[in-house]
Order: sequence, then C-alpha cells, then structure tokens
Amino acid sequence: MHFDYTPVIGLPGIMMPRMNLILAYSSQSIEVVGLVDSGSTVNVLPYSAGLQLGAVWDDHPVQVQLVGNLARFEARALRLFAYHPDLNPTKPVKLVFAWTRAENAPVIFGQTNFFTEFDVCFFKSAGFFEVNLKAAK
Amino acid sequence: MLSDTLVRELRRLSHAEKLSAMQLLVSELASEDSATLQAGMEYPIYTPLGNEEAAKTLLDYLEAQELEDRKREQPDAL
Repeated sequence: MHFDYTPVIGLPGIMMPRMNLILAYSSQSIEVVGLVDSGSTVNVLPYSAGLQLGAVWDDHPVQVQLVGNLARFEARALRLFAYHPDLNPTKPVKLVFAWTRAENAPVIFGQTNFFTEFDVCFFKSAGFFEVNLKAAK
Repeated sequence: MLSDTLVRELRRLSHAEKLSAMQLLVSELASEDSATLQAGMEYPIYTPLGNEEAAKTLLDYLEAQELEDRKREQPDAL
C-alpha cells in the first residue's frame, strides 16, 4: 500500500514518511500518525498516547533506556495491537513500544518491531513509500 | 510560462481534478525545496539510533507477554 510523504509543519520544504495506524490496548483504541523511521532501533510512543489508550504507567514495570534526546526521559515497555483499515483490517499485529514520559516525542515506528511486522520500501524521489504486511512464512 | 494548451487543459478539469492537480504541484514544490536546508532553522532528530539494549529489552518483554498469553489460552499445555 502506498503512502505519500507529508510536509512537516514549521519546516518548509521538508517531507517525511509518516503513516496512520490504529493502536489498541485493552478495550480502547486511538489513531496515531507515526514516523516510519528505519534508523530508529525501537518503536516510540509519547506519554499522552499511552494514557489515551488507558495504560497505567505503574502497571508496566519493564524499563527501557532510550538514547539521544529521549535519553533523559524514563520509558517503559508497552505492547499494543496495531492495524490499518486498508492494510491489515482483520489481522492486527502486536507492536511493542518504548512508552516514554516525553510529551513532545513523535510516534516512531522503528526496527523493533514495526519493521519486523511490515515490509517497507521508500521512494522519496517519487514522494511516496510503500508498506505491506510481512509475507506469511 | 504556461502554454495555452496546458491552460485550456487545466480549465477543462473538474473541480476535484483541479484540487488534485493543485496538491500534486504543492508536493512537487515542497520536494524541490527540500534540496536545501535553511540557516538558523532547527531540524529535530528523535531517532533512537544505536539503541540495541532497548530493542533487546522490548523483545524480551514481547516474548514474556506471548508466553503469558499462551498460558492463559492453554493452561494445561504449558
């Protein structure tokens, strides 16, 4: 499935590969727009998104140490179900996120484990990227 | 300078097609502009690059959750 690169507000001329996904936890779900980031080792979820999903910080004791400008914020492991209405409407995948206390962090879909569940090809020069559910083994 | 033929073709488009054409042009312009970075502008990088320890922690956590799921589904099998 093709997704268009989208402009970044406040950064004229910068286009980034971002896509929407529905994330579900327990009985709640939210739609997020995340950066498809092949350079990121992990998936990242900002604090407010976890709260919107009904996750309780203290119920998730597994700590994750992030690096870079997210290093100073505490992060916890959080497993969610994820699907896209046109990509895998009936086959939600399990994505594990570093749920960070940082409020201004973007949602990031990284190597662990977005890129394990989805096959991704970037065509920046053509202004789009392609995401497909991984082929069944 | 737009040719008369192109202008005529554009005018023939439906309302929706005109909007699509406009979106296409805006995207083209934005992607041309991205060839240069602007002085004084901040370009944030959030990417947790080289964070293999965190990846290992998350994968171990995912595996533990899977095991718990299986225990709940088939308590006698494990």
